Amino acid sequence: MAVRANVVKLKDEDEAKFYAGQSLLQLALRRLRRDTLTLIAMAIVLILVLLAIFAPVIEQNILNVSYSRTDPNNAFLPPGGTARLVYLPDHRYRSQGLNVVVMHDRGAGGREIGDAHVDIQPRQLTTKEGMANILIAHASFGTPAISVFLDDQTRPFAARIAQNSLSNLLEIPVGRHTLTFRRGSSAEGELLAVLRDVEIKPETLTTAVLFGRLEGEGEAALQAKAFSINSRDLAVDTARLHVIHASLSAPRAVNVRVMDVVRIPEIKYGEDGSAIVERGLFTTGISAMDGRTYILGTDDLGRDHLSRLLYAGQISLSIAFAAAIISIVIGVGVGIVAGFYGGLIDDAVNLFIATVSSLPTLLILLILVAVLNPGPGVLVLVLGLLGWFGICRLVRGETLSIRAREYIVSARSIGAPVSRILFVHVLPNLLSVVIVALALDIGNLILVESALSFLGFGIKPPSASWGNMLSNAQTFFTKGVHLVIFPGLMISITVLCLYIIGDGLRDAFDPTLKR
Amino acid sequence: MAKYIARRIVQSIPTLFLITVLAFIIVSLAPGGPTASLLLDPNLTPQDRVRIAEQLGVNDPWPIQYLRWLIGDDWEWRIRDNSGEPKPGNRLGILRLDFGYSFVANRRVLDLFAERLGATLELGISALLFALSLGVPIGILSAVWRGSLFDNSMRVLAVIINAVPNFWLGLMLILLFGVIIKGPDGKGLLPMGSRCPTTLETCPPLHERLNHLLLPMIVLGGGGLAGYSRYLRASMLDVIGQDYIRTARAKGLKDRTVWFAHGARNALIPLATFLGPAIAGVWGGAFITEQIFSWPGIGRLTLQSLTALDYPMIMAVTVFSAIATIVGFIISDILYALIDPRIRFN
Repeated sequence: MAVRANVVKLKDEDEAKFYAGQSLLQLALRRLRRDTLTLIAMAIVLILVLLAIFAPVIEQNILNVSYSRTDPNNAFLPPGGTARLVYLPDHRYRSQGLNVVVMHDRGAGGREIGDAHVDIQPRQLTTKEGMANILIAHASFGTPAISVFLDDQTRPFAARIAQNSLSNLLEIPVGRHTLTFRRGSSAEGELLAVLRDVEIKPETLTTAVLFGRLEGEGEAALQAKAFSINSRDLAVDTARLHVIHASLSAPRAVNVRVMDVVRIPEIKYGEDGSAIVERGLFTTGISAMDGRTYILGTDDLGRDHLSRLLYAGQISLSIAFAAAIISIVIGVGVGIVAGFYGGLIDDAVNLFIATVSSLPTLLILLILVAVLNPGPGVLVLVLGLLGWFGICRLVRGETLSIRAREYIVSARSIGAPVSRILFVHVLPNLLSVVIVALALDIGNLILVESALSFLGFGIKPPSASWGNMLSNAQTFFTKGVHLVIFPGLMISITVLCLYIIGDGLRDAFDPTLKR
Repeated sequence: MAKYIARRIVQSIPTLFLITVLAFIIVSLAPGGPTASLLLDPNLTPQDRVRIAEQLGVNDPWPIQYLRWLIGDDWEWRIRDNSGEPKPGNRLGILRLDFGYSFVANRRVLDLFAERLGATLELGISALLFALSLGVPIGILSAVWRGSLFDNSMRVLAVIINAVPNFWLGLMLILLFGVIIKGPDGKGLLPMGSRCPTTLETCPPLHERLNHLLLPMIVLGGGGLAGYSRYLRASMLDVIGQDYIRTARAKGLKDRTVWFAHGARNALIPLATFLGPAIAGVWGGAFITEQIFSWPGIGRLTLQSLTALDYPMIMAVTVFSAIATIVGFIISDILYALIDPRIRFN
């Protein structure tokens, strides 16, 4: 190594003795060994890299799952693998009309739930003036026809309310009503439930939901709840039978977004079989259908989340590493030439960088990636070719200061060729700058790549990258919280570690910069 | 002063020119050319295709196409009408503020921009104000209490904010405030997206709008917040080491006066240079933030145009972004020179 320790300003004599006669690199390593935080960050990155490299081995031999195997039965399995979510295929939702989800147990009681059935039926709603649509949905097997009695009338307002059907859409007068539900179609039929003071507003869809045990007796046996649905009002405190979303029927219909639709209450059953409803995941209390263990659960297609995270790490890390190396090579090359020669080359490089920097990098990347629609290989090139400006500036500045130092002047004076000066005298002294920049650059590139993939322009499914996993997860938000949390955590941890490594290396190479 | 501004504007012309060339080249790189999507319409007869291609001039060499985009084609008697008579074109070119028509919406690009500008400005300005109003005090206090628990935790926080991808931050905030934490009405405490309640036709009350603005503002301003606090801490420490501070101390001024009256006032000056980068930062972050929060601004419009390969829109966005950033840089230079008398206008 050409540079000796005396280049670095040292604090006291003891330290000077301690460091005497060692190269810059040895010194840096010595300082680095004392920096626990950086060492921990390095270990984490190393583990992540190893996990990414050995993803196929881990997947097949340790996790015993398949990253690509899809199984709707295991969809949205949360971490731990003891619960199953109801899978709601999103394409069946309509932006206007009625989306009804009815879930019912297989048995009559609540405890022995074996399956959950989902039924979604979109339909355009039209309403006469002064009238509103009401949807009555009930779901218990073997129920006889139910009639609805409006207020105190003895004739049923509607008879034979079928299970789970949209023909139950009744037009009833606007105002406050008491709805009485009876078995059969006569006023003497068994009283199932009463809903008092239901306010029927124009332009809203009011839903009456009947749920509970049908074999019980009296008013309490079957509970009923009515709620009007506005654009985003989904909350019901207790419901086994649940209408998830219905849009307004009037011309001012609002859009139903998938995000709204996925708010499903979690249903648990207490000791007495009563339903306890919580927000969150819809659990049916059974483990993964195929008997495997999914440590971090599964995604919307029933694919193992953990092995997908590992494969995504493979892609995200390798793209970032490769692009960082490209941008470092270009940045160092252009920076050295611009800094060493100066003059016209320097001006041209500066003008180019200033021009490109007047646009947000993300915008240029987005445009290029959208227009070229590249595979991973070209994506690496694009990222690398647009990522060298910062390093180039750094290297240029450093080269400018190195150029003026005595040893360069003396090398020139004894007639050393330019190539020798550049490679033997300038380049080794840029080593610290370059290594630090490399660590920070990989971190930034992971962020950029995941942002592109998140927006749907970078790595495209079925390949997994942390960004596109998040992009996919945001659609399912509340149903699969684990799908949102883990990919983001992976990105954050990786980038944070790389930043810490970058800072640690800078301090190790040049302790005078430390504040 | 006027001379200085004029010179800065003249200096930025080559940059802008290069940006337009760059935008044009990128778009020309598209497989099949920028108009492929128009010409591939199955409803068109081969004659139509030839006519449209001729009208758009896609078969001419690209420098000529570029010139037409820049200065229009109304001076050119190029297009033949049905009777074969040549007539002038109808494009005015971007130099005369004609950015053409969007392929997708079939409306003037400028109109589409004008519609969305308000939303983006609202979000961008509030994010900047948020970042400044928190970042500046945090930076100053970090410098004052240098090495304290507050200082260290703020530095750690700044690194973490930079490392956490802002789209994930946005999703987590939506999850936390839109789903997990309940408001008094049983719904999420804050809305999960969009600019204002969808069912209202009239301008919604201010608190509703603020509810909608809060999360996107935090996500968009987060990076700036971290940047400002670190920058101000460094700037404050620079100032505090200078001679006049020692003088102020020596003449027996109170610590508080020295830090805040003498130190902070001067440490704030370099902040003026931050306006240009801040505008670029907010603009770059707007794509992601507007997308996550369904914010109906220009960033979201841009992403939609990119997905649909709406080339007139893409080129216009490129030029507008460059203008916005360059104007930001010019304004911050001028501000800096105005505030700091040590800077001369040459």
